Amino acid sequence: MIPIQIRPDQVMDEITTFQNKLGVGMQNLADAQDIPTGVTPKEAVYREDKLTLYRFQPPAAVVQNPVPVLIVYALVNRPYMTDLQENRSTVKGLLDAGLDVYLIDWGYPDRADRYLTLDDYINGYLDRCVDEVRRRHGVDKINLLGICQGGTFSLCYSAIHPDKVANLITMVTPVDFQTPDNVLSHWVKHVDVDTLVDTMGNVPGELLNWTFLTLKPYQLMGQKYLDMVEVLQDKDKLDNFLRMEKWIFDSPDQAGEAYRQFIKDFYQKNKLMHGGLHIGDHEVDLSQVTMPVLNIFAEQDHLVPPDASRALGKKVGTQDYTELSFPGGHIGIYVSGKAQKMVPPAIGEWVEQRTK
Amino acid sequence: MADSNPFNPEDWLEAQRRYWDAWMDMSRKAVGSGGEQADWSRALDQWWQAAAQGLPQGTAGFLEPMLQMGRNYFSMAEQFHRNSGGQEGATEAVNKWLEQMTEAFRQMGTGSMGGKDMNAFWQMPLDTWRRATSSFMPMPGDFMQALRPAARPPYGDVVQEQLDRFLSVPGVGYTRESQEQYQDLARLAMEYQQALQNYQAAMARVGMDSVERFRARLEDAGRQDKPITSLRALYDEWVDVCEEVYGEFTLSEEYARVYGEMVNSLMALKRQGTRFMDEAAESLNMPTRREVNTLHRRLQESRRELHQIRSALRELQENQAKKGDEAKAGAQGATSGGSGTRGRSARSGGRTTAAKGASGSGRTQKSSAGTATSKQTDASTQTESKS
Repeated sequence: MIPIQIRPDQVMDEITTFQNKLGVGMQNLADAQDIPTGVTPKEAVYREDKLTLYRFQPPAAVVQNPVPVLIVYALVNRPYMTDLQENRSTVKGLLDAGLDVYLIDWGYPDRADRYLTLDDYINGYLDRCVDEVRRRHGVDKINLLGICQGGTFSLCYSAIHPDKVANLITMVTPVDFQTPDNVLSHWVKHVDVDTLVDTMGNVPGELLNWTFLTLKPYQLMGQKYLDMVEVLQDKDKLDNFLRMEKWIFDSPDQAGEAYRQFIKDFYQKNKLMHGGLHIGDHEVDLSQVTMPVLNIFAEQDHLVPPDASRALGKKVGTQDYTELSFPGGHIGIYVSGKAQKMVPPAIGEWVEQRTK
Repeated sequence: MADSNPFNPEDWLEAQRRYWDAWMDMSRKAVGSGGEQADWSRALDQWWQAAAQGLPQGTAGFLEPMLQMGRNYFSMAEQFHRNSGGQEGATEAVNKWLEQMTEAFRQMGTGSMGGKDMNAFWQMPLDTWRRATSSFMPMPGDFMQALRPAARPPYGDVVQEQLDRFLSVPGVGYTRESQEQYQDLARLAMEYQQALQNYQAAMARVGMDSVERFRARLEDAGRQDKPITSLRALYDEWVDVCEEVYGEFTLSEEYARVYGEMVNSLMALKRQGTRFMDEAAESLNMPTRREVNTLHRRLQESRRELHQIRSALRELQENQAKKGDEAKAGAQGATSGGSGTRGRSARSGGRTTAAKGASGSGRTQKSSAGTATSKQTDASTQTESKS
């Protein structure tokens, strides 16, 4: 027996209520101004091509750890996710925890950047940013905090240049790209990446958006917008929704050659796990990651499954390896209220304990 | 200063309230009389056309996804409402709705589009794919649709066979090469459409599986005496089931194959289109994509070399400076008779610049937030140390 207890007049009432909310909420939408993202004051300290290195302004009352931390974000989305709004900012949490925070904004590659390789990103841009931060602080080594794909870059960098990294923090970072629950890896199994890049040059952000949305299409392209009608009445909630919506669809195109190598070597051949990965002239050997490592993953991550991150523990050379499991998803780890209370303070304390 | 918002909220709200009151009134009367039922999704469309005119520029586009979902939701409500009127109960309404969906998925699997709004929900992955790729399609979407291979035998196979024969006619004479290129383009276009159709057919099967699982889920809820008491709860349950079935399918080998074929065939088609464009550009003495690629590649290689040379030069200069310092210190030591000392300056990418903007001295204060969590031991938060 199908247990439906909905009367026809009730259906009409629901539709009427929905419509009323939509109508009233549209006034709020019409009044909505441009939603600011990236709220913590910062200054650009280094620029190269489309890349900008920022340093965030620390709060006056907090004395900082002398070893700065450089956030390395992914190429596939914009880094303001780490500083989305006043009360949802990983950056602010790190500053409050006494860290001196730098962040790389990779910018929006265009067709002239098509031949940028992973070597250019990791041993070029990232290395020069690390050198710039070291120079500014007069230190030999700095802390790296890599997020998602940026975490994978940070791992490669730390394996190649261990002499420049004091402590490594990875957040929602894929290491084993072929765990059975890794949907993205499964999808690209039969994709001819060479033809894709040879044809498109850069890989359009729209294509990546499609890929991410189709991980959960009925929730992300459907149910979410019905839920939005419920928050239209509340200006603050609406602003939060719009901010997130802006970030989700703000996807830079991907430099073709870097994308080619990332998909082939990491997703299709899983070389970070199995070995044989080369970034430029350097072989990446995770046993060379000898500095302390804090590996943070999200338990409900549908993009980077926990096992994909946990695999790091068996691969790194360091004896000082710590895991932190966050009860949430891939995005919640930056923006949820729970994350604000848990993740940045934990990072601050972990770094503090390892700063001599 | 005049109000910059041309949207007068009070008038507008009043107008939209009247509009919906009228629609709902009509719907209630229809239920009572057994006459023609309301078309709520159409009502939403009409309302939106009127309402969008009063909205600020840019807002209308943003609202489109929400309206699209509203249409799907209204369509579900409409079918449910229609079937549950008169003597039929809610259970019967759900059964009919499920049957209609099964039929729509069956049609979708054959390449035709039944049940516009309901199918729009299920077509979301494919529809978004078409939107995402439209900007780099070599030809307009409608043209591609016309190339869709006829789906059903016996006529489909015959038409396909004739097309294949036509596209295999060897080129002859002065335009031989050009003819072959056009034949390749047509063949690639058809392959892409076939791949799209395969994807759609696979999704239709997933849709039918979802209907079955939804029915089972509802029956299970009935056994556990957990009734569904609102339209929205019914919709949410439906979405959950769809995600579950879709999620399982997308981890299958079949999905990886149809997905790969769809991407690969589009890229092959696009590449052939680019070749045509390059030839046209070349004939007009304009730069081609191929030539621009060569320039970009060489430029990037030169920049890479330049960075390497700069880095090597800096290292040389530093070594030289270091040797100079050592020589100076040695000379001073010899003059004074004392032993020279060498300060250790920070190494910074080969540079010895003094720290600038560094936080400097010791730490006397620590954020209270910094002590919080790594020692948490609750079930959801675990830290594990190898050290």
